[in-house]
Amino acid sequence: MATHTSIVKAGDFILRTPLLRSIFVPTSHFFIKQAGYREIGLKLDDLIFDETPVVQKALSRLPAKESYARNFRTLTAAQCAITHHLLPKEQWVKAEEDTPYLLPYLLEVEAEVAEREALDNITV
Amino acid sequence: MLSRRFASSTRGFATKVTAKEFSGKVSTLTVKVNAGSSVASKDGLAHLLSRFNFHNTTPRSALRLTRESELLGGQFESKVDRESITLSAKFLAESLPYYVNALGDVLKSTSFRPHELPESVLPAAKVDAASANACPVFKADELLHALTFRSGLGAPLYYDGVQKISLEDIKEYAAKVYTQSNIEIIATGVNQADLTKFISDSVFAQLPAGESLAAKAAPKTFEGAETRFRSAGQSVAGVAVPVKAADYATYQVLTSYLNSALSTLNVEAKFSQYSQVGLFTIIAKSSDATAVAADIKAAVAQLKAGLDLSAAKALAATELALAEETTGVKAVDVAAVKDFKLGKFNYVAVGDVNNLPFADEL
Repeated sequence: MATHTSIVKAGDFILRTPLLRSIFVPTSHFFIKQAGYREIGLKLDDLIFDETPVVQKALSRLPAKESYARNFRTLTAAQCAITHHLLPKEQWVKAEEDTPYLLPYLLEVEAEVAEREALDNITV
Repeated sequence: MLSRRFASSTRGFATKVTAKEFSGKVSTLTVKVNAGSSVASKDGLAHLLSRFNFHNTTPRSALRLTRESELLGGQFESKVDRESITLSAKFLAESLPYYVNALGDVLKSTSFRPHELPESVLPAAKVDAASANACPVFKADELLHALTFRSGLGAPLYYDGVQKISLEDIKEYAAKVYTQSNIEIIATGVNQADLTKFISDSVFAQLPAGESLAAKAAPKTFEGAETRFRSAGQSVAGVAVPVKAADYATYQVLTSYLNSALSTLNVEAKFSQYSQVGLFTIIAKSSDATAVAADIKAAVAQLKAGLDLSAAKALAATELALAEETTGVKAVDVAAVKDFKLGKFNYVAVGDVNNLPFADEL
């Protein structure tokens, strides 16, 4: 399975390569608009499937403020889904607010897991 | 027999380096930092910093350090006491450079990641405190220190959560105490010249110069106080006397006397020798509080009446010489010791306090 580390690596490669960049960046903007998660108050990192030990560990390391904001966004989105409404336009998450707040923690946890895996299977 | 050479040097930088050569294969490397509970500005800070040692550092993670050390056949330990935090490593003599670097990295570049405090440092510290405080003798010792010294040496040894300690506090404390002048390196089973060379090439040499935080003057002591602590389990009654540096010899001999077969008393004596002051304690312990009461009364009565210690001088001299060989604590000269008479003291009762005497009944 692709780990977040490998996804970030692939993303960096795309951003470094002008041709790929010119294809993928507009596609990603199109995807974000079609997915519509910002219209119910979510950030991209809120969509990460969180029922895995790695993501749970990363979530437990979020600062209290970030964790509260995440829960608030989840509740808002759930309410929007139940009532079949989008948020008023001024409350949509703006592009500059859609920050990868969870990703650094995820990458750190994944690095720890990979290191443990490597050390568990070390040959000397 | 062990062939050895004893040498000490401060060449190159401010850290005191002592090495003893043994013919054995196992070496130890100990870094003694003047940063114990009496130095810390908040209660429990020294304990938490000690628990933070051997966690993630910039060059390698905690897991990697542990696994690498296991492969080399070595062990790490970090302990806190009232005057110092002691980081020690035990390893095979040929891996000395690795361990010098590893210990240096711990002092210089521990990363203090925010998640480490709640995930591994605090739980471990709480277990330390809970298991120590479950022992009534430790509890009595803590209370006697608190009665005698109030602050400083009287501060609790372990983190108890009374004073809130943040990661920033621990970082600041680490930066303050892990300095060249405040640490001392003691090694056994290694060559002095090798050790000095490895240390001056390692991150130890990059530590800030700083200043020594060791106690320079004897702290104020208090006598004649009493406290009682109810708890289930064994009962303990303890008596403590603060000891001036000039009287160390008398109390060393007294401790040897009371712990030997020469004494008929059913108590345990302990002499905690700190750099500027000492604390002599006698502890009676039993699951039966009335027996404890009888033991401590008999002990105090005998010590108040006066005790001729000349019989125990040879024993104490031998014990001290042995301790000097194994731990490097300098032996005091006990030749002039004559007799002992107990004056004012601090008293603590822990356990079934209903059946333990009060200080004025002793």
